[in-house]
Amino acid sequence: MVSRLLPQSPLRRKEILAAYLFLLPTLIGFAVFIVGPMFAALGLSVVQWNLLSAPQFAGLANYQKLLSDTRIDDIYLTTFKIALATMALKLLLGLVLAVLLDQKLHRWLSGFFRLSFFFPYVVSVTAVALMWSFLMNKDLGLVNYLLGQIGIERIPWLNSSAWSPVAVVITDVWKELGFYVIVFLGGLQSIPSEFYDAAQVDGANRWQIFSRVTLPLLSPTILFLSVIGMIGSVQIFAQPQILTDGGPGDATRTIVMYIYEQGFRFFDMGYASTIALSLFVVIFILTLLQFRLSRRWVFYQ
Amino acid sequence: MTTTVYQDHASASGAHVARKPWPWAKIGSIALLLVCSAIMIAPFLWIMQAAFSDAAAAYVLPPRLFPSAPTLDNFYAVFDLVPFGSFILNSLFVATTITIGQLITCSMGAYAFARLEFPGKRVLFVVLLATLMIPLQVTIVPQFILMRQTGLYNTHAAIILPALVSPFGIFLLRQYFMTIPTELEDAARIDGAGYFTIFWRIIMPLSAPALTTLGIVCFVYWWNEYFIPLIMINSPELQLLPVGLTLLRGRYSAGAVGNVAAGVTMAVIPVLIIFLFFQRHIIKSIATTGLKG
Amino acid sequence: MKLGKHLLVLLIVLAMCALALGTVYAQEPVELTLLYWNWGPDAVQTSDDIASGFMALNPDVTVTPLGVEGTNWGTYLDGVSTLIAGGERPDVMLVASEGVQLLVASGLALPLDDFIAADAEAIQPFIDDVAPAMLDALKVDGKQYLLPFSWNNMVMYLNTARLAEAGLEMPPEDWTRDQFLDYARALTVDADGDGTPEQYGYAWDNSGMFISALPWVFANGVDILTDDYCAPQVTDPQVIEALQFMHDLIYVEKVAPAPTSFGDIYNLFQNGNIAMFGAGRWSLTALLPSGFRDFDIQYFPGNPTRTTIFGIGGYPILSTSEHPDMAWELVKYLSSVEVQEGLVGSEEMPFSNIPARRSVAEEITAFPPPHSNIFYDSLEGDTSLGGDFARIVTSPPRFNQMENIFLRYSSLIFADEMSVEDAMAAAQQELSSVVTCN
Repeated sequence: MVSRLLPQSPLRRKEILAAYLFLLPTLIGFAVFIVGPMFAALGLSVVQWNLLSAPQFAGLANYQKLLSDTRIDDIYLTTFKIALATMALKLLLGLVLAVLLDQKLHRWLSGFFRLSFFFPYVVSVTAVALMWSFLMNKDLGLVNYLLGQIGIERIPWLNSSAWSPVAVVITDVWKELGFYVIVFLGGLQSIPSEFYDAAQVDGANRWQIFSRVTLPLLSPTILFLSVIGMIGSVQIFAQPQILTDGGPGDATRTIVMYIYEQGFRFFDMGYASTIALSLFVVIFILTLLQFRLSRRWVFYQ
Repeated sequence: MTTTVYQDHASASGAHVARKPWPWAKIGSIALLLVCSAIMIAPFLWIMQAAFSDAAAAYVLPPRLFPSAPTLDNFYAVFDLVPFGSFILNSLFVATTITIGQLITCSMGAYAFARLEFPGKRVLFVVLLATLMIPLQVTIVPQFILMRQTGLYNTHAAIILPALVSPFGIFLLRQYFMTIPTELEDAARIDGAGYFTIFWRIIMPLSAPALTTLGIVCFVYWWNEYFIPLIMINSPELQLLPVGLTLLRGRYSAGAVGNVAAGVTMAVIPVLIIFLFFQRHIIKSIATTGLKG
Repeated sequence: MKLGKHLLVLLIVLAMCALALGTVYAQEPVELTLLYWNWGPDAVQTSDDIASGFMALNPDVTVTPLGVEGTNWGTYLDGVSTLIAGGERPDVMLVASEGVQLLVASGLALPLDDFIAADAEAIQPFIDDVAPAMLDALKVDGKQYLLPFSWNNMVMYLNTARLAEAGLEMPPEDWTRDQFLDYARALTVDADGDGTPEQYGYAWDNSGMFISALPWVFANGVDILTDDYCAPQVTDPQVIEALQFMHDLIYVEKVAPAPTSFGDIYNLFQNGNIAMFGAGRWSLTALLPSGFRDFDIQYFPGNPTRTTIFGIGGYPILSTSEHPDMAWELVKYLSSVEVQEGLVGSEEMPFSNIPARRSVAEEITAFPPPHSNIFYDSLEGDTSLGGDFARIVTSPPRFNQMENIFLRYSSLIFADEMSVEDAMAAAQQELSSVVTCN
């Protein structure tokens, strides 16, 4: 195989050598830190190892544990619930705000809006989560105080199974929304004006223009955002960890928190790897599904 | 999949919407945008007033936007409680090193994929892109074990080394390199320039925008990264800022609100200043790339 | 064959060289690593002082203090395990009673009995100066793995200004849970009558068993595990009763808010929004430096006889140590009056824990609150009150996992989302795979 591909001329040989030299750092890093660990994870999933004593071969015990683990079902469900809610809100609010921003505004005003929407995105997630843990405090928080002003009773944002996932969703949407707004805005502004002119000549009203022209032309952007958004949301970790530490019960425990708990708190390296592999499969399926479904609704110019 | 960079002034489509004046719609939409801006800004104002308040007044009802008796005590306390200066230096060091490293490795890799022909090129490229789908959590356990075996656990190298390669960075730069016309290179080759000279003297200088984009995205990502330092670093003196901030909550999360608020403020202010100066670049970079790292 | 012989000889020679080199190397200056929980500046200060003090006495030894993060003993222990798993080879490390069993079960701790026997004269004054309950609590299978260094227990903090407003005296030393409930009721105030009190009688943080449910469970005379730590018993009627009592404080009596963090509790306590909370000496490090003085402490109420929950920190010698004898010298130094004095602190900056030596612990009574003496007295004080007064915090080998399960279910109880019986039945089931002796 290799010999067949051997280069004929010295010049070719030089090019090939150069290519591999250029790729050398990447290939080494890749083998050591991505491909190697990927296979190591598969290997770890069939052993029992707490790092303090020697690893023991465990066959499929970890996979059996995965299937019979009563907590993991709830945890995956919570993860999907939170992921779906944040995704939907970010796409919806992001689009609405982008459309509102896509009009002639004073330079300073539009700059101010873009800045204020986008800034939380570049702030560290821990700073954001710590901030919101204070704001959502039941008795002393700003949020409940403001709600109290309009007659709403104090909400146990961080202390109840019903509200704590909502708190996580709000924190995440608040932080990431700006990114969606900016990307949508880019998408909107790249739509050629001829499309609008044509629609107007046909006598379409504003809503019709939006639903028949803007949305279809924006669908690749929506697909792009929903794919990267889904992968990111399923891996949400810092917000619930800092806000509620997964509680009460497992109400806000996400799958990555569970991997962290099993791997780096209880040092069950085998089981942690097994859960991580299940997450890989889930992300793989979700991404495939999104691309498959996208054929029905994404419109390419 | 690319998204277009936002333009500075309202584009044709925007002008279209505004062409027919609907003053009420416009006023309404501006009001709505203002409310949203307020929701984005208010938490920062609240945390700053808590940072400047004394211990007992940091967290009182009704909440205030300005401290009654401003004090810097909380800021001094932060430096007493945790090695906050080290957090910032560590984060700067780690994020800068990774950014420089990625710019080097990714541009080299991207050059090979964009300009050179070699056996296995397509397969390698596809494999590289496919790994983007592998969640970090799958590789982190083996990486952790690797670091402990090599004695790198609880050192900055444990964070930096795995971060030096980035399939995403290679992809981003390759796309850009492909758009550079080959005439200059051909001319250089006739003059006897080697591959490295071409890469270093021609491709790199012409790729400043793409390199800046990757640099910004990479730096912002590693400046904010929480999961990996949480796993790889154990000593407060070596800790990075995002995890360090949470240490301010202290034992049994008993840290005073004012101290945590001061820590958060000090983490946010530098970012705000840099952001105000380079906002155009930063927003553009992150929006074009779409991904964080 | 011949080659094999040569090889063998060569190997032996090489091994001997290595051994000789090793001996030479061992005579190089001794380096000891001291691992500690970096919970804040007082911990860093203490560890640095210990290191420099010991090095001043032993110039040929280098002691390197290494701080590890953690929000409680459990997560600190996670961090230590990670560090040891990560290849760090500490000689001596700070560990709490919660972690002793894990350390012993993992073969990481050396028993101290031989050291103690060989050095009896030097260590006996220390042993005479600490409460026997502490030494007993640090034994595993009859062997002493740890000498107590500093410790903490749970006492009740009361806001004296709020007591005065309600026309109450400080409660008596032998107060019961029923009396506590009367206090909590009297100290809960809903002035504007909107149904949400502005002032609560009591509050707790549910981020650890030690600080939330265990004191009330212990007051009922039971533990959540069997005495040999071989099986859980969270469905015991007395455990259920204690948790029901706590649940009812929030939802029936409405004298306590839903569990909140200690940070909030300090804030609310100093502002008078909370009149009582349970904690150890560590809370003084938040209250005293801010100038707050309107408070006092009392024993945790009994039901009906009082029990004190306590936890101890100490420095075992690790089996990974290359210099166990020098490590023992360090452990001995830690038990000295000189080092123990360093745990007193000052009124402006008290240390978080109580010194193990009784004679030194008496010095903390010089600072507020007025009844500081009950910290140490709770361990052995006036036995005329009867009862099994001091019980070490539940510490099975897999403490982390046990605590995680218990807290997960108790958080559902305190959120009023699961009945105590259901929650504990589920916890019992999950615990039984973590707490076993096979």
